[in-house]
Amino acid sequence: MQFPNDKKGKRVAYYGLCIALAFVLSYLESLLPVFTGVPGVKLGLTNLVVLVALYRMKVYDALFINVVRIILVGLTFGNGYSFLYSLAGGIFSFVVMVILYRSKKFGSVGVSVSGGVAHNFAQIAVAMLIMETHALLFYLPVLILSGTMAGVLVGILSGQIVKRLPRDL
Amino acid sequence: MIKRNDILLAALFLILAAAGFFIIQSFVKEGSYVRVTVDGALQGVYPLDAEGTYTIKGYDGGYNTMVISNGQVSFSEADCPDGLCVKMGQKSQVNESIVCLPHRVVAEVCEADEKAEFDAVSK
Repeated sequence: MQFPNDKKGKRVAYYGLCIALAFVLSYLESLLPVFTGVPGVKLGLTNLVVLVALYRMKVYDALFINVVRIILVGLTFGNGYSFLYSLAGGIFSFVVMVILYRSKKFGSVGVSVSGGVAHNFAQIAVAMLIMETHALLFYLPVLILSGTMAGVLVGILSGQIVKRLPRDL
Repeated sequence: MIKRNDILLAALFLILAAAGFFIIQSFVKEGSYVRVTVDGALQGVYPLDAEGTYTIKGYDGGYNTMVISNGQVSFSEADCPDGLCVKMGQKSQVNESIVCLPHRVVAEVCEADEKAEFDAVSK
């Protein structure tokens, strides 16, 4: 029996694969101990999947995977407002990453670093809105630093993954 | 994979972070009061020079236990899943804060002369 060369089916399969992977990485990251007393400091492993999707699929594929991932994780591991934080962080960092990616002036590390920092910026902004306090602004330097470091790591990793994947998924 | 612009961008962020640290450091002062808000509303102002343990009711019915001891404030217990506020440790300097995102509790250290202003706001 032979399957027809079904492009749509292929895409659905890749969506499923990527979302499952992002989902598992989100879970993995929730198992990691919290290193610091600053809320929002994290590795951002799921950004690996988003970056690879951005480089090897189309922009809207990556956006779709990212949004479904955020909703799924919010429904399972999240508690109420954590969903709002991750949605704000996820969407804003995605927009920034797409701009840098499209500019063609940055490699995966630059795109990833901008995404990490943008993610933390958006989360702090939402937290300040919800809690109506400026005190959180004092976490910004730490969050810029952690976003940059995590971004470099994830950027290098995703660059290596993209290099080893076939040209068109 | 790594372009020159990537390194420049990362360096820029690191400089920004360092500048931020320095700016914050220059504002550091020992505080004398802790101002606690829940969901943006003032819940109470507690003096740092009086020892005490307080239970703060959070936005969703959860609680945080705040301890003031030796002029420092810390959270010793909370019924939220991550317990981040407990891990934040002790704070005593002006504008330092302990935050509990799930319960929307912010405990912020402030200066003596700010107390009057906060009392006015709480009315």
